[in-house]
Amino acid sequence: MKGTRFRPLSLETPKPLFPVAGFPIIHHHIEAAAKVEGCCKGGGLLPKFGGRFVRLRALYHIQAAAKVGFPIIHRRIEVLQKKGKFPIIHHHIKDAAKDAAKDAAKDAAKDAAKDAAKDAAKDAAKDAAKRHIEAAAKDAAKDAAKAAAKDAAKDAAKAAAKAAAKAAAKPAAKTAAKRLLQRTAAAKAAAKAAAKDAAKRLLQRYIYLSVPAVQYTALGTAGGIYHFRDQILAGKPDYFFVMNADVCGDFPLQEMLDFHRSKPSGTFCTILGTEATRQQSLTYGCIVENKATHEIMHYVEKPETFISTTINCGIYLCSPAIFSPLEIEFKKNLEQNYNYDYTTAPAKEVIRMEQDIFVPLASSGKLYVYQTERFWSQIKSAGAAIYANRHYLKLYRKTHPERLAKNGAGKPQIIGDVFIHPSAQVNETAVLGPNVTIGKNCMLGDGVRVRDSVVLDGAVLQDHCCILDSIIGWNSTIGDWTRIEGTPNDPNPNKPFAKMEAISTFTFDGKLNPSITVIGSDVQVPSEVIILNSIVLPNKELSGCYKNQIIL
Amino acid sequence: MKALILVGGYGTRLRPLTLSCPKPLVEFCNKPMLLHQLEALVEAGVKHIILAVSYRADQMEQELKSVEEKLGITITISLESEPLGTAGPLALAREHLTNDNDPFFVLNSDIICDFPFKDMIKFHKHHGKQGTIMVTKVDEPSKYGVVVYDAECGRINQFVEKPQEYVSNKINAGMYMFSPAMLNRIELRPTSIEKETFPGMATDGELYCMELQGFWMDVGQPKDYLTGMCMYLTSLKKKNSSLLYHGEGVNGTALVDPSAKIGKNCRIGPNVTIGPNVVIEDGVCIKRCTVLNGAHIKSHSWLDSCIIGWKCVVGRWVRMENVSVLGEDVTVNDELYVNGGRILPHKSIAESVKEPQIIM
Repeated sequence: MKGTRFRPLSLETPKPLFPVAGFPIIHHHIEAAAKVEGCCKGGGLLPKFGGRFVRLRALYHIQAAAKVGFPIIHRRIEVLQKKGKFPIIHHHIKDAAKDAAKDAAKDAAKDAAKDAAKDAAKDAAKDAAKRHIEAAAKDAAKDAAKAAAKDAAKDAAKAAAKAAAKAAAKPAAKTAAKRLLQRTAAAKAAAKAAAKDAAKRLLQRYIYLSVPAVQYTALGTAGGIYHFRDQILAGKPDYFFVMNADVCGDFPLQEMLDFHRSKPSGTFCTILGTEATRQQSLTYGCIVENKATHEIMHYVEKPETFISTTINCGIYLCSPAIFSPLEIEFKKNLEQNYNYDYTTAPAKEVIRMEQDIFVPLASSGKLYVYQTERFWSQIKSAGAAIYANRHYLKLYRKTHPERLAKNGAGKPQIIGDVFIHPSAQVNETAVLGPNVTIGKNCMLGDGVRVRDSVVLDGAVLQDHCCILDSIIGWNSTIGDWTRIEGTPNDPNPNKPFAKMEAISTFTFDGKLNPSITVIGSDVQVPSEVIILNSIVLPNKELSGCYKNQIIL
Repeated sequence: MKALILVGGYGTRLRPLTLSCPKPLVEFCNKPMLLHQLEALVEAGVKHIILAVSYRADQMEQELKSVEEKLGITITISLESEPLGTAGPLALAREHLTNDNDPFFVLNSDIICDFPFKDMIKFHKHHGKQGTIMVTKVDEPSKYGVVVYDAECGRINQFVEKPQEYVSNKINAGMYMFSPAMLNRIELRPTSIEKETFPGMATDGELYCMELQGFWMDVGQPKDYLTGMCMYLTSLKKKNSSLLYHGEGVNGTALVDPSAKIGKNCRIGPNVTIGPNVVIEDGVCIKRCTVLNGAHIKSHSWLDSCIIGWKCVVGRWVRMENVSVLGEDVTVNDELYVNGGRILPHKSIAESVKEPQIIM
């Protein structure tokens, strides 16, 4: 998943980290998983990641996952790609170590200086000296902590010691100062050790996260799971979830777990399924089930003719027993690689979950489908992000009502579901909603109107401008009375179970298909113009109106 | 002295406005088009005005009663049972035009300029022939019929229809002065004064022309109506007219009726005419538009190059541009985009008009 259909937004951020309803797409997966009972013990999280996961920004979801207690494993990070002299992984490790050292040094220096000062002060004979030392030590600790945060532990501790020694240079405090000096030296050593240790720990964690990802090619969903089998099975989980990052929905994970548990032991996998229209089912994995037991009788990925309206949602709950068919498949692949030449066969470890595992396992009594009628959609295009935004905001009514903006005196008028980041400044004459997300540090002027749109961090919407069915990129500026308008590609409301159409960018005769208007990051749109059904790439300074165009 | 104004047909080119109101009564810069001409004629000493009309005579007659009194003139309506072109109406009104021997004016009703009627009288009397026509300079003469004349005395040599090569850049401005003898050249049938009468007069050396100074525009269709409005307002500005509005939120030339209400944080102008009883809410930007009597423009809307008809309501955050024309009593819902839409009267628009089109 490289997110090419998500450009130009994925030029700035890997698609899974694109914010929908105020949080990265993948954050919603993590939140859903965290709610499952016993998830940390029994489950794991395997985000399907690819392509451009090379930025420090990605540290975000490491933190997010750590918060809810998940080990997160990335697959196919192009870590061997070089950036400057070293491979990218080197930079990651370096940065991580630096951060760790910083933190550790800060803590260590602070503690050491504090302790030393305390002891020294206690030992000091005279009250005056005591007071003086205490003050000095406090300062020293402060300075040390500050300095340490900036540099490494070494410098920090030295500075602390120096400051303390200098302040304590009065004869009355001489002995105390000496001791302090000694203590600080000890602190210095301790800080150094602590920093080293912390860096090592983080390095280990990072390597654990990254090293298995040193791959030359994509592995396929199942190949990835097999590759990470040791990490997944660490701690002997009873089950684990596999979730594709490019879907959104109100995932019934707990219900899936309960359903899975009710099936005979030895069941490999429960697939989350949903209903689609006959026509649209052809673009998904189609499942034929035994209506009574929900066992999967037949599975076809993207069939040419109609098979079933039950489709695969890309959310799986697996028992560790799934590794046995994976292993068989893996070995079969290896064998084939011996016998055939590489050019025709897929790469060594590629095992596709759907075609290679589900298809042969259908009718074996090992695969089940759990059908949901809750909201679910793929997130392929930018238009889907607006659709996902609407549904995640709606979901907040149930899960996080505090995240939704409310009407009130001195506040902008809110219609329907709206998320406004607390740091955003929105004029009280603005009207927002329904289905609007306003990012961090955004500024919305007098009489601004936003509907069915996502405004990303740092964007500035000047007075009286009107934003409809659009995404406004990071740090872009929209002028006075300007109108930014797109065309939604929402599912056909007249058909039950209709999904979003994956429309192509251009029509047969080469015209741009009307879609959501996307303004890339750092784009300047002047006053009083209209940008209609267009895609503007980053860092452009527009000078007039644009309709149905891609602006390079 | 008398004048005949060729009002003519249905004014289809200025639809949808002319579906609600006869063209001569449609306001141009807060005054019915016809009144611009009537007032200028009265000032030049004209006492009797004949309107050559081929439809809606009743409505015109009623409306013009008060004008007659106000200006102290006689207005006669000469109703054509069938359209008679540009020359036929002269034959029809012959009895009115020949009851004395004075020369008379003939005007197309769609033109807007600084009417030079006094100069025309002087010029006409000076050369003493049957006809005088006003000519005006244009940038692209190839689109029109041009007039070739003697620059010294103004005697017209010939008319060239859509010249392929440059012969002249002066065109007929649609204002004439004739002596009654000229009427002998016209039969009572549908006929064109430009194509059938003038060439003969020119050949006989009976037709002279005079160049118009200042602006001139045929405002018979929306695009030209707006261009003409800009010219008229610019001319008002040059004359330092006290009619121009200088209130808060105004940006460039604007003509605003005193009964109109304008909200806060608006940007009105340049080249905007706002009619009586119009309400403009806060934060509205209007450029190059005419807003007619009783229209209501809601907050944060943006209008450029539009004609907003009588009693229309334009919603909040509406964007209208590219010679959009709203007929009488049209409602445009909030947040819509209207690009070059011609909206017929009494419609309610609930969906954007993204490409120029007519909404029935």
